[in-house]
Amino acid sequence: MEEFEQSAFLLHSRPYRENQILLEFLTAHQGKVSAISYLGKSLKSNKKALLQPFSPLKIVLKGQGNLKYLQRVEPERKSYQLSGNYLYSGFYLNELQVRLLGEHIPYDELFGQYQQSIEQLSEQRSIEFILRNFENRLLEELGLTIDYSPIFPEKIHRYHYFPEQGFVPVVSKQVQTGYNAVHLKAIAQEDLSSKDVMQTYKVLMRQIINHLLDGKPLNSRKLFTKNS
Amino acid sequence: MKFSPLVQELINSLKCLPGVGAKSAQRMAFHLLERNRIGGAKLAGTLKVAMENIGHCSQCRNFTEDDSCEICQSAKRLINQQLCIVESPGDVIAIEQTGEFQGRYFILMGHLSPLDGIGPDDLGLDILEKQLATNQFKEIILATNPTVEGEATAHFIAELAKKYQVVISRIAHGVPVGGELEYVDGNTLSHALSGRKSYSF
Repeated sequence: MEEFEQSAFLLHSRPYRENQILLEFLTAHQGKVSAISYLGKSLKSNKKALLQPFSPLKIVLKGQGNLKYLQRVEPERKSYQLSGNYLYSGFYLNELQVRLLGEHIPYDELFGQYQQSIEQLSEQRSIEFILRNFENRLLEELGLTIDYSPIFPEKIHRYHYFPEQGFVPVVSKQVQTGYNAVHLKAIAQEDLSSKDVMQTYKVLMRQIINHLLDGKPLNSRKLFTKNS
Repeated sequence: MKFSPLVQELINSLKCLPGVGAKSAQRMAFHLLERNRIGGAKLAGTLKVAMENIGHCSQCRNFTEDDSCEICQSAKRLINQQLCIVESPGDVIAIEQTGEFQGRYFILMGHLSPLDGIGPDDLGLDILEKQLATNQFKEIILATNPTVEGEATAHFIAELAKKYQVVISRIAHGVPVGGELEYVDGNTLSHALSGRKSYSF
């Protein structure tokens, strides 16, 4: 069998048996893949140093089944240095993918978007933009595009969003329920300059993602709320 | 062939040890029954007492059967106003063996790992914060492992400690003693370079 080398990022790892490690990769060509690897005991083995999240890798996987064996791993470039909230955001991206992506489904655009997001996080750009962009791409890859068309024709101020149904006008007289139509229009037109629009976008994304996760909480979110 | 119920139960119980599967458990059970009954009885006794009595130190969270462990009780270490924060009891032993550190410890029993569901609440950070609030420490040393999760943990604790009057330091990481630069991975090497010290004579 011919060796097939591809770019990958480690999303998550955990110890397995005495001297092995169970890995989850996001690969450029095979989507999310699980693999096991032996950790050498010798001092010269630097596998553990290589197998860290946010580090661009070149990997060769072996095996027929769902669980692959990591045959070879090399650094592709220097790993991205994330710190503080940027690091927590990186964990958030990883957790989203570990929880939501199916195995062995090639998501064409996702790898590039992930790499770009990590790079932007390491450059300490605006976290909100990076996360929303990534979430948007992730949802698209999962086959979930948000249809903004119902909000344009009518002159209604607030909308509810229901998964599987889309946007529905708010009928009740209460002012505070649902999403602001002006904000939604701005999101649809990708005009994300205002802070309020970003806040609405965040709440909307959170609602959709929580629905996908069946209401189970994302642990990386806890890291943000404690210190900020 | 089937073992008698008690033998089978012994084998099944031994499988709770890390790295022990069905075959190893069977071998252990036979060895204890056939060759080392006294050792087996002693193990059973110790195991029972240990499981019932060992808890966590109220100050550093290390394993101890008393309310606070030997290190936390020591008066000499109380004077030294340093606190070293580590991930596991094994790390304490490793640092103790160097003899370099005379202060006290705080053991997290893990590191922040959102994907495994380990959040700030599971690391006893509320206990840590209470200790920091008493202002008994001049310096805290963050000695979590040099992994991405360890860094995240260190950063999280640093943020927590920022509002108290303490010096916050992080252990250095770089090339191991006896190592060869040629075989050291790029990440370690770049850490070693960026954290270089001016030469002291």
